[in-house]
Amino acid sequence: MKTKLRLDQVAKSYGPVRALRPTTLDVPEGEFLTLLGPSGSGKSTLLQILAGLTACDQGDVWIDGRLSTDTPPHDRGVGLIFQNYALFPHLTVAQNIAFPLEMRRLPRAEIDRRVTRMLEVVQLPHVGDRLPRELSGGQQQRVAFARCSVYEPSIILMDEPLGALDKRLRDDMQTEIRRLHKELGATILYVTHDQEEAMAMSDRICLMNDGGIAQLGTPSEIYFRPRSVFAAEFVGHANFIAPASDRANSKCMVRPENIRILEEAERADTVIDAILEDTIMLGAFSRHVARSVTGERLVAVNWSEEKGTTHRPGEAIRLGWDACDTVHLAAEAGR
Amino acid sequence: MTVIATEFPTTRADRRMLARYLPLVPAVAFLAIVFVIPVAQLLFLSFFDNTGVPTAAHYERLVANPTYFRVVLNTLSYSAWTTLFCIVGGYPIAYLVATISARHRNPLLIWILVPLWTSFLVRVLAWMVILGSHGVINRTLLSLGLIERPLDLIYNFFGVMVGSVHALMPIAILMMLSVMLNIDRSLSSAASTLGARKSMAFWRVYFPLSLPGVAASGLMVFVSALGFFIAPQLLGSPSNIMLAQLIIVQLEEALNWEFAAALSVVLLAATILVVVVFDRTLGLSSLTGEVRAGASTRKGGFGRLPGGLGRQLVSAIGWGSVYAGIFLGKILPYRRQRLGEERRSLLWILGLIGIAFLALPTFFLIPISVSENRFLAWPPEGFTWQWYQVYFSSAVWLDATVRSIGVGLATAALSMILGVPAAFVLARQRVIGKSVILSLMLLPMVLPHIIVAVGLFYLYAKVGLVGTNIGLIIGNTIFSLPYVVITVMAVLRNYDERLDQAAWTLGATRGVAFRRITLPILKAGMVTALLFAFVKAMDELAIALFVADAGTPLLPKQLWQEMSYKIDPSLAAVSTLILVIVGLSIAVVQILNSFGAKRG
Ligand SMILES: Nc1ncnc2c1ncn2[C@@H]1O[C@H](COP(=O)(O)OP(=O)(O)OP(=O)(O)O)[C@@H](O)[C@H]1O
Ligand SMILES: [Mg+2]
Repeated sequence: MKTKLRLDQVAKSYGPVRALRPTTLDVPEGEFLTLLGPSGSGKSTLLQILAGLTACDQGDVWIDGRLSTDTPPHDRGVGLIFQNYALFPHLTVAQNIAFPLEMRRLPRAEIDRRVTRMLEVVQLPHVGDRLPRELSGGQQQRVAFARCSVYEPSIILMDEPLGALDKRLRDDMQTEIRRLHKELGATILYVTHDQEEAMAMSDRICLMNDGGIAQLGTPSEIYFRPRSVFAAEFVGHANFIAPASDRANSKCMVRPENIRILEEAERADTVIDAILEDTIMLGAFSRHVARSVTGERLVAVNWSEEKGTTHRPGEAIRLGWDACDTVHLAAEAGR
Repeated sequence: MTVIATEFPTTRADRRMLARYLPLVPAVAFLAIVFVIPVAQLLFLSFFDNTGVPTAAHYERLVANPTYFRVVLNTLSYSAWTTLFCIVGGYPIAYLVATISARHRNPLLIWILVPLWTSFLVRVLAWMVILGSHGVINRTLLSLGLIERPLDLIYNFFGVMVGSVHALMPIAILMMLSVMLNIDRSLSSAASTLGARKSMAFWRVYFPLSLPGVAASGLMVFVSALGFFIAPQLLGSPSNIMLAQLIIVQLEEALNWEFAAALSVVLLAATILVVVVFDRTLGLSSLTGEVRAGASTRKGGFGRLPGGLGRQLVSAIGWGSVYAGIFLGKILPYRRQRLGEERRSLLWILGLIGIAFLALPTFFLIPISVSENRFLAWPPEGFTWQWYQVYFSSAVWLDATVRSIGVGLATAALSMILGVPAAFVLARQRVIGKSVILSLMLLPMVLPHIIVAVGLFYLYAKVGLVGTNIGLIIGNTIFSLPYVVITVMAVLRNYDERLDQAAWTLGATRGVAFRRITLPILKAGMVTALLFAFVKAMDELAIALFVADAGTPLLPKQLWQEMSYKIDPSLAAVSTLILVIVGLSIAVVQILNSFGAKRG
């Protein structure tokens, strides 16, 4: 696949703060890539550099195979959706959406046609004459999306576009954005610090920590094969267990859903004796918290059974999992 | 029963409602008695002749004589030009200050505010030193051989404009700035990612959003300029006078009070007309600083122009500047620009020239005050303390200084006593008629001072307060009160009320919470308000002219009289001393503040 976006050793500091360490990243055409990471990990900085709103200190930005490090934002053809939407408060919704088309000097009739169509695409056909502040948060978000995609940029950057919305609206908008991604075929870089959102939407996830890329991979690679303690902990729950004596420099990790409570004579590749501390029924799943004889806290998540588990808190149990579910982590990987 | 219940607050809720208004009562009563009634009386007077018989003769005289009509036109055009220059000159400065980093903002702001803290008369004197035929500019140009004869920079339209714009531009800048600082920076970024060049993003997004600030400061400047008489009198041509000057002439020379009252009505009518037209087209709410950027464009005149004419215009300017930029880029050998480098040199040049214009003039008085030259001539010659000796050996000057300081302090105290409780209520409580009350409090700021002063003079003449310190304090408080109310309200707007609530939940009574939490946090703002009131009172000329008499000299009155007749460096010495007094009081306040902050 063609490379759409390339960052080559791009770095940015704000005084003593290293917002972005030298970072290299390739994004193929049409991909939905999510930047996931804790607050202050450099996600917004990376987007700003791609959009041309912030100059990087070193390195190069390539867009569509062209060196674009010093291209001003208005020449990049990269759409950006701001966390606060940044809709122009003095222009109506239709005027907002028409703005990028006017900047490209399209004929009036064509502008009107495209604006009308775009309002239908985001399912807001009747709000064209309203001002942004007369819309709800979700509607504003959709207008921001419409304004950004109406001139059909081949790259769209979104900085936590759903951060201000409530849970239900977020779910709807996630589906909507996925749909629009398919419809428009654009390359999308999407910033969030919500791991579920990242999992649900992305082709690949770029996990960021401390101004650098901690891991880059598909959602399941990130989830099942984290390469660092940070990656394992940031996405989903991780049970850390003491490594085998010959690999003192590494750590081992098992996901809760891979740990079973073993019946009397049941066997598994790895078996640990533990005391059950608590069981919480979560609906389809139950969460068991146990403490191993060596003092480690272990969490197992299994299908719930109607009769409830036969084990009581305080009871001694055996926990086991298959060898292939053990993930070995380099102790300081990702740093 | 129900009728009685609505008339007398019987329930506890009713009583609490009334209690809310209580802190407003002193300030409102004060303004009603010494501001509303005298002004109304003055207007009333214009319909009577000097024997008390009702007549329209004064207005007939006004209409019959084209000279008066010319004075009105003069005043309007003078105000319009002042407004234009204040906005055009102030906008780049406000824009520069609004868009630089917060770290660099405060130093620039301080220099912009310098004129606001300096006595207006002192500033006018400084312009005499700079613009006069022996002044800084003419002497410099002559010695450089650039001109052969001194240019006429003073005692004409140019001189008046310089003095007036210098006086009003800081306010214009501050009002534009308060709107600009509320414009979300990401909007400009958004425009650029959508394909707008910098100049286009400015004209299509930033500029329209800053217009409410432009409109508000335009109104403020225009209305203030209508009542100006100091700059026209001292820097202008005697053949080209303004309404306020004419009023003074009628009062002091022709002793025709009724005709002066009729002229005041005209001035007042012009002021009210401007305010009403503004309110109709743009909305007065943009004056209180609570306006949301762009809020008025929907309802307001700009968006209401036929066929979005305003938008078309702005769009045309935008494209014009884009093409101009591209064209310049083609013909000038610019090196390729790195991203993040901004070409703002033009803005910086404009901004720094403007700030120098605002901040520097008064400093020219200091060397003049020790010059041996008998006129305010540049460059200063030799060195002498003799002008200071003139001041210190003059009983009148010393008396005026002591009285001015005393009256200033008392005015500041009275303004605080009346203004702070009112500001608390206006900023925090929901009260019915809030906007009316607030307008009443702020009205003295926009009404020509001369009208208020003359009205007060009639009132005082009846009750024997003319030439008394009490009379002066009351008169000055009318004008200092708005500044206290505005400043305290601004401070309160930034104050998180949850701090008080937290204190209450932690067991503090309301009184204790106010003393231990509210007051210490608000102290700096309160002191600023006090200082503002003091400085304003020290500088108030209209009251000094009409309420003081020969037995009660005041600094502004003394300066005004001397500047009108003879001008020598002793005035520069007095001005320098005034600068020192104000500077010292600011310094003392700063030190007290930082001392308090360390202890607290
Ligand atoms: N304009 C700036 N000036 C100074 N420091 C900045 C600036 N912008 C970002 N930083 C710093 O750079 C680092 C990375 O910031 P960035 O905004 O990229 O984080 P982020 O991953 O987007 O975080 P969040 O999830 O909170 O939005 C942070 O430590 C931040 O404090
Ligand atoms: Mg961010």
